Amino acid sequence: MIYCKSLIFFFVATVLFGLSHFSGVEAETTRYKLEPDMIASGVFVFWGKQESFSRENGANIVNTGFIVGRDAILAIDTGPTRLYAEEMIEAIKAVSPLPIRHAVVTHHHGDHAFGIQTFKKNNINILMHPKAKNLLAEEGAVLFGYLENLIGLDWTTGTEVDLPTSLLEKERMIDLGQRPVLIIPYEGGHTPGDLVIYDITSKTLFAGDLVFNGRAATIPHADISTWLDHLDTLEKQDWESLIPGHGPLLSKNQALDSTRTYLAFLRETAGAAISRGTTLAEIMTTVIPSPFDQLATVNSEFLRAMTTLFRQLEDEQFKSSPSTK
Amino acid sequence: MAKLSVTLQPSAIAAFFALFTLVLFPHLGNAAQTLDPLASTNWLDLQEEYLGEGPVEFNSSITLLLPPEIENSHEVPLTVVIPRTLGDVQEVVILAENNPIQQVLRLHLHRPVHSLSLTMRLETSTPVRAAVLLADGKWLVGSQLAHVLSPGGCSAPGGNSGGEVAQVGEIAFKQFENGGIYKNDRLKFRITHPMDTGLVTKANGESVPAYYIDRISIHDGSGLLLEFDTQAAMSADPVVTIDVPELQQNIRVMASDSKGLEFDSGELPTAQ
Repeated sequence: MIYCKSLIFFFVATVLFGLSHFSGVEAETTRYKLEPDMIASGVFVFWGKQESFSRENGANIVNTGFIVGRDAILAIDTGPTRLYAEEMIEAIKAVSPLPIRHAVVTHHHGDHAFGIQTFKKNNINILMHPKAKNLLAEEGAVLFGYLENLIGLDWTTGTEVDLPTSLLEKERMIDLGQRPVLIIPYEGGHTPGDLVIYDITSKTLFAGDLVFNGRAATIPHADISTWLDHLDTLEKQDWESLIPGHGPLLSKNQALDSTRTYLAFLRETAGAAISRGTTLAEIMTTVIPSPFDQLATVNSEFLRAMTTLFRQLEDEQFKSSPSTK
Repeated sequence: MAKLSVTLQPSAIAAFFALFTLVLFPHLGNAAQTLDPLASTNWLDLQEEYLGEGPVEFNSSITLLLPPEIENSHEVPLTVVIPRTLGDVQEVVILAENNPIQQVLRLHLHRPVHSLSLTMRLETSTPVRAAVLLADGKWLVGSQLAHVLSPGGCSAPGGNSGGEVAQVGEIAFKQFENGGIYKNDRLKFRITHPMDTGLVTKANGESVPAYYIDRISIHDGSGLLLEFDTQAAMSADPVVTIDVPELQQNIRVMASDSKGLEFDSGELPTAQ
């Protein structure tokens, strides 16, 4: 009887496995189904999910977008995979027949930069900060390994880490045809080389990962003090809408507190723990206080953040205390 | 039905019985018990190999703090709280059951210690144990499951020593007055060392031979405090933190490694 049941189970499992892996079912599921959302005339956003990387979302957790001028289009970020970038280009073409001339990659993290190769193949000029380019060259392969582990080969197939075609270190204006767009570097905060895109016409600011809204910020390459300064500067800029790298749109004069208070909380928590001698395991098993416990993905991001900050601060602490060979 | 029971492992029966017992007598879950709360199939082998003949009791007052999920399996932080109510403790053994190197360290106490923290390598998800030997020869065991998201802490490349900036065997050290769990002295030190497991193969196919610190001792003005037998299941550049209520002046950390090199911090002035 049991033997019989397990045979049936094996049969059913085989059929299901076969279906999902060798037929159209799979092709259907590995699509991001990107839909551009027009937030101002000529300004579109592909909103990512408020989640961590997973096999279900294929790393579609990032906000990308594009700005349409009279003559040309500028894309903001390239997404996490070849598939994402292809869908993005397809979706842009469905909106406008104008050429996509530029793609600005806000920083080197994979969810923003691993679609570069696809944009390059379409002869699109890809702009990045030189420090971001160097980090992508150094760490891209390792970061891609992590991503592949987390979202699976179905999503990452055909993706290759590639580098930008041009570099931008100083503020620069790009004209898309009666549509001037400013590209502004913000160094050494969220990562050593972040870029922000400002559409003068609609007063829309694409802030990249310098701003997170309702989601826990990630800090593996961050200098929190400089980042907090950048947030002050960004807040004073004249924007009507701000598109964060992750999370929903922020309207005029809505403060950037979600990012600011969380960063300050991380710095204070890690700093106090290090100076008191609290261990990493102790801090990781404490309860995350309100309101930070409400942030999307905070449980896993808090662990990552504490690991990063402990390594930095512990190193400084040991350097400043007695040490001999 | 008869066929089913024949195929059950004795350990599965034990696991079922443990669950059954806990359902009927929930108070046992908080107190000392003789059945493994994690119902591991390997535990009896580990007990025999690392704890010997003495009686063993599972005791939830020995607390193991681990991150709820582990991304970096090369460097897993662990804190073990050893409550002073346990009395005179002789040894503490940290075991990671599913590791190729199961015994992370064995600590011999010459004075009381109330907590022990370290960074270790976990190959995969595993029960982690802290076994505490009392003066009467009985072992008390605290347990916690470690949920590893990216396996390979012992066998995959990565988690390397910061050896370019500091030299192998460099001992850095920090003392925290009132930093411990009972507001007593907390001592934290880091020894720069690759702690190679011998299980890692580099991208070019070359295997990295085992090379690790095998012994650490801590001394102060009143003599020997603690001795550790250590294994490569400790992380590169291991960081160790201990709560020592009777810490005196003139602390000194000494270590030796598997090549026979000796490291000595010298007498360190008491920190601020």
